[in-house]
Amino acid sequence: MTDRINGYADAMLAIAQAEGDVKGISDELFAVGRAVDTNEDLRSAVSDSRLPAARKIQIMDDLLDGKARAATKGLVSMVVGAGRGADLGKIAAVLAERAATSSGKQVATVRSAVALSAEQQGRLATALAAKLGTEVDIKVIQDPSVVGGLITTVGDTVIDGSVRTRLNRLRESL
Amino acid sequence: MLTQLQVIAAEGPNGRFIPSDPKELWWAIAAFAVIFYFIATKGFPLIGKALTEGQDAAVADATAAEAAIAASRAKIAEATAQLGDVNAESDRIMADAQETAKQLRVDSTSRTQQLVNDMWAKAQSDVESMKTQATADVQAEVASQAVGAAERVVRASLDDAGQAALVDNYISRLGVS
Repeated sequence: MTDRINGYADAMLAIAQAEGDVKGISDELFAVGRAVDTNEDLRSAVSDSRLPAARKIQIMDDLLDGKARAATKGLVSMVVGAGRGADLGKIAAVLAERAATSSGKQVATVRSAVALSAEQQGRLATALAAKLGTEVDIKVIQDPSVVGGLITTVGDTVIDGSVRTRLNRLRESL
Repeated sequence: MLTQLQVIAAEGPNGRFIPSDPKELWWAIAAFAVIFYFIATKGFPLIGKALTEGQDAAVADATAAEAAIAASRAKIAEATAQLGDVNAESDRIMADAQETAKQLRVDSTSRTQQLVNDMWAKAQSDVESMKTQATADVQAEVASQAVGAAERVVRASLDDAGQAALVDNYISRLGVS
């Protein structure tokens, strides 16, 4: 399982490097992977063995039409057509880590209740780099359960400044 | 009797007891001697033998009777002893039965008391557990309700500016720490 995911991630990284847009493709694939992981209907559609591969690919093409690079769409079609649509999120996560590593960075997964602007992501990357002593590649996951604030995960390090955690602490103290 | 003898004597030729002819006396003595001889040689041994046999039989009978009496006495003594043993055994069995019954009563009472104690302790423990659980449930419910209310308030008050402020604050704290 892990070998297969690593294999797909390596292949996709090679294609993204060949396309000369590793970060752009990696970011888009990460977003698509998150969508598959968090959307039950979408995950069921791309992992349904009774559904023809062409139909699954068509679903993903329709979803990404006009919103993603052609290379990204092609990679998604490759994975879904191979019957690995349910693993798309894991493959994209490994790809993001390898893409960051290939450019001397670490992936910083940031959970936020709202989307972060490019300016906020830039300031956050700078602050994290100063704190951790290494460049980071920000991957934002929009998660309403965070309520407010951010939860950043870099490797094994978790920096939690979310309202959710404060509410949980309040619940425990009560 | 004497009168009859005198009559018989008067019948004699001389009117006296003593025969008038001395030869008769000699013949009487001889006859007596012969008769006595036969009696002494034949009769006396038989009589003595009979007497001896009777005596032996009597002695044997007496010995057997004494043995029977001794055996009977022994049996009586044995029976008496057995009766004494039976009485003692009966007393012992009764004493054992009473002791057993007494012990059973004591054990039963003890077990019942222990059972009551256990049930009481368990009931107290259950009540304590229920109180603790109920208190914890109430606390959890109150906490859940309070936090739920707080979350609703926070969500309602967190507009875009508030979210941005939280993000900025987070980034600022990263730089400070």
